[in-house]
Amino acid sequence: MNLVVRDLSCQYGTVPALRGVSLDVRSGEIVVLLGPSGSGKTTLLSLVAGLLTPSGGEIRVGDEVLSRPDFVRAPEDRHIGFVFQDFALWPHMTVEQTVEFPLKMGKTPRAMRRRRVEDVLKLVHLDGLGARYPHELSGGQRQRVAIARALAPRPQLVLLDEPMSNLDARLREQMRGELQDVLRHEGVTALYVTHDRLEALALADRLAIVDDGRLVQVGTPKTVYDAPASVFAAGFIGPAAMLPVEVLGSADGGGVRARLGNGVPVTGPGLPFRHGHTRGTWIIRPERLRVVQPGSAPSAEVVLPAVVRSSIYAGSHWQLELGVLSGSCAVTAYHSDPIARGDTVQLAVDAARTWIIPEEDPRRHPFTVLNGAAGTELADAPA
Amino acid sequence: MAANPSTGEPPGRGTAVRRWWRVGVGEKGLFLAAAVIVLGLVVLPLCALLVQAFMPHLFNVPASLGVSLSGIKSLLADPYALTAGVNSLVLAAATAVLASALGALTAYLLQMTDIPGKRLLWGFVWLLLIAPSFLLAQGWEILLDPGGLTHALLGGILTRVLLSPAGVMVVLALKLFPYSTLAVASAMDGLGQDVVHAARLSGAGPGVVWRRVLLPLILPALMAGGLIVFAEVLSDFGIAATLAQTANFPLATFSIYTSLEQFPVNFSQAAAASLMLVAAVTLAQVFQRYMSGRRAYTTRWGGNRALAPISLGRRRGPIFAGALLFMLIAFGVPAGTTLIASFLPSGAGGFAPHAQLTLANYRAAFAVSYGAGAFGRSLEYGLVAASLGMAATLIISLAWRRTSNWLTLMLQIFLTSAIAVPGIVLGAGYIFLWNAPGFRGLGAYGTPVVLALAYMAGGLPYAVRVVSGSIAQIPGGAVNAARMSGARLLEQMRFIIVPMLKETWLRVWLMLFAGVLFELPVSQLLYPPGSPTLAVSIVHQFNGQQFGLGAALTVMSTAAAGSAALGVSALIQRAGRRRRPSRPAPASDLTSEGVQAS
Ligand SMILES: Nc1ncnc2c1ncn2[C@@H]1O[C@H](COP(=O)(O)OP(=O)(O)OP(=O)(O)O)[C@@H](O)[C@H]1O
Ligand SMILES: [Mg+2]
Repeated sequence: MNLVVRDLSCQYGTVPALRGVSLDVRSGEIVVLLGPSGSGKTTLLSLVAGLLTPSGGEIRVGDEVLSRPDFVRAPEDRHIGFVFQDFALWPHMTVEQTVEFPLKMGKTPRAMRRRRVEDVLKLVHLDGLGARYPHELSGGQRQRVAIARALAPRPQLVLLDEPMSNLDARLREQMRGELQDVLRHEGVTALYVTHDRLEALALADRLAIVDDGRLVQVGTPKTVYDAPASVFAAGFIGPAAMLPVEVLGSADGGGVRARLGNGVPVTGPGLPFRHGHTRGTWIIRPERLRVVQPGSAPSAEVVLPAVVRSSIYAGSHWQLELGVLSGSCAVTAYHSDPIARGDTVQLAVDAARTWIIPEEDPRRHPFTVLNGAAGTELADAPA
Repeated sequence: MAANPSTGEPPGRGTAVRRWWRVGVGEKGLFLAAAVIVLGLVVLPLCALLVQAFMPHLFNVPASLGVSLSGIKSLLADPYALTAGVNSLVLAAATAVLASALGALTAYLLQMTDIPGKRLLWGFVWLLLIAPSFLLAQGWEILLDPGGLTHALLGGILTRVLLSPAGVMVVLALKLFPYSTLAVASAMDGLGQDVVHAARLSGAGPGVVWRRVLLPLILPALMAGGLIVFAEVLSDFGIAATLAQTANFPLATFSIYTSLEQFPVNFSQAAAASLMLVAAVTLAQVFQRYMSGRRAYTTRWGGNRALAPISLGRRRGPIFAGALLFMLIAFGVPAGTTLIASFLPSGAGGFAPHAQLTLANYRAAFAVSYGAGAFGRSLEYGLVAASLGMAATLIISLAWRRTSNWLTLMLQIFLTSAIAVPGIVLGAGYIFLWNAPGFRGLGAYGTPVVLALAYMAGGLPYAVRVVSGSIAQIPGGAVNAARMSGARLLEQMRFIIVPMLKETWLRVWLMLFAGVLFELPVSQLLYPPGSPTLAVSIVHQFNGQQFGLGAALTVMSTAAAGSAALGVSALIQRAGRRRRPSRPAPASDLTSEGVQAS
């Protein structure tokens, strides 16, 4: 069943947590909400679940109105599955009783309940563990119980609030694939919250980037990664160099013409140029950068001199941190070998596969910090 | 973005419904039920009393809103009430000092030394803590039986010693010192080895360590324990109505009782006296909270390692013997005399020489109108009031977890502070309320209904405190998960909250049941004419010198409470066994799962 959220807002006391969010989740689709801590992801999920009351806006599932300014349906009447971050299992119920509980509340006949519980437990690979209590399960198994409980009554919509955050890194990777299979198998519509971008990229049919109570961008993972709608979205979905540019106009074949601070011209795809744009940000993903011998770069590529600041070993490659534009900007690139600190190298940029965002003032965003955070995450996952 | 016009049904902004009702009708009903219970059971009776103190003519037939201090004036002019008030304050202060000394000593021995038999001694401390004061006092009174052995041996000495203000103080101190023991022992428990080591390394000898380091850390707890004892003496009715009365030593709670029993009742004076008593008790409790709060802060110093126990060396044996003797006097004498007297021919009483053991008292207990009926009645009251009280507690705790607004906050504060209200004052409030115009017409006054309501009210503040504490430990996710599974309010209670807190319910139920079974002041004021309760009956037998009969009733009721306790703990054990971890789970795991630490 499709979910429609219109102009939804919510505040805690006088503090706004959500400021006019509109989102459509199509039937059978997995939409991942990705955003920094405190951006309002849990709030949005709780509003859809009915655990919070919105201060404005509307929520519908299918033809059914769940919440309107004059009407709020109680969570127990919404038929929505919810997987809680801490699993929220009941210590006094066995796995079977837990998974059966929503079916019992839904007045499903006993025999059908039994069959469904069996099926769902098999689906999440918990067959044989039905008689166990939560404290007799491992973390991963508990999480499967939570998922099974949410799926058992065939809800029209499943909400998942950082379901992996209590699992260790390896288990998380394994569960990522399994969860996707389970959700696809059941064909449910899902709204999934995470702040792990790798999880988001792997699971999402579409991504919704949340920042400060607003949706910044909604699109397929590839769109958000390659064509971010804002500097914030660009930085949040993955590591990127963000170089300030002077925007000159639109290019002939679409795209934006710009000029770096050192006078080097840059032409590449980007957000549409509009009259009045003068400044901009040039977004370069690390994989679009290569360290080249002087003079060996294809003429289509932009070449920048850069000073190596550090080389960090990341298993499959070395991650170089470099300073460009006389050291005023930081850039991350991948290379097969370490390079001595202080060396000057040539960086070739495949400008056709970068992204230019006119007008945004990059000084508002501490991109070096974003880069750093993204870099550490990358270190434990092959690029 | 504006509301999508293609969806039909534009949002109607006209209906302004308050947010907390919107989440469902169940919430609203729960909230209202909780408010009605607290208002009806606790707030209204106490307000009736407050109003009577300052508007003496409000409940008169031509009602008058005139505010006057005549109640307080007549209280100050009444020599009996005044004496009783002063007696209570002096007695409370003196008892607090004596009990603090006993408490500090026992706490020191039990917490800081290697004295043997700690479990046994702690057992006595807990027995004294839960024993009703009037039963202990009457155990002592049996010794005074003129026909008994002690009287024969010691003549009138014991009578003169025990039946004096000092005797009353000693009996009270022997009953109440465990409060001080608990407070001081927990402070000592918080002392770490590092505190002592640091002082030793700075060159302080053992004496200096005690004087300059340990005592200052323990002192706030000692003060807090003393203040608890002070407040307990002021609120006590059990000893005021028995031993103190026999000793002709009027105390405040008893003077309130007598002023309500005489005719015509000076309602405004009784109300003023009740208010004064509540004020004094509240003051002591507020002060005690303040001291305890400071203590909790101070004792964080000290490192993680507990103090190594101080070795008593060769004096271990004698000191243990002394401590055991003390406990045997404090608990063993009253309990023992009661048990023995219950098997001795009534009238002879006490340790009569050459007396034959007999069950006559128990037979009589079932035959006498003031006996068997009372026992059965109190059991019924206990079952009904504890069960209804439990339900009320559940409703209140749940409602207050779900909704918080100014009304719940007010009621919460009121119920919390109602813990400071002595039973006799609560009972007085019930007399005032159920005799007030509008309530009098219901004809409930003087019936078991009002008494049962008062019993519920008496237990409610404690029960709500314990249950809210446990409910607060249920993670919000557990309840939300149930709601997302489609569980409505009643189903959430039935399948999630009640089973998760099974042990708490059983404990609280037992506490309420035992509390009703032995309740004296409210019963004394409100029992339906001709149908006394157990405690009233026991006191009646003792006042009529029917020691054997009174003792038999005491033993019977203690046995009933004891078997209820055993039954409940068996249930708790069974509940615990079913979900005991089959392999050790780390504590952090359990808390994240929401297994309540009870
Ligand atoms: N109960 C509350 N009272 C007041 N403010 C709250 C409450 N819950 C959340 N907030 C605030 O609302 C904002 C959004 O919170 P929310 O829990 O939705 O964030 P989130 O995106 O889920 O963050 P995280 O990734 O850390 O879980 C935050 O600024 C938070 O401080
Ligand atoms: Mg969150």
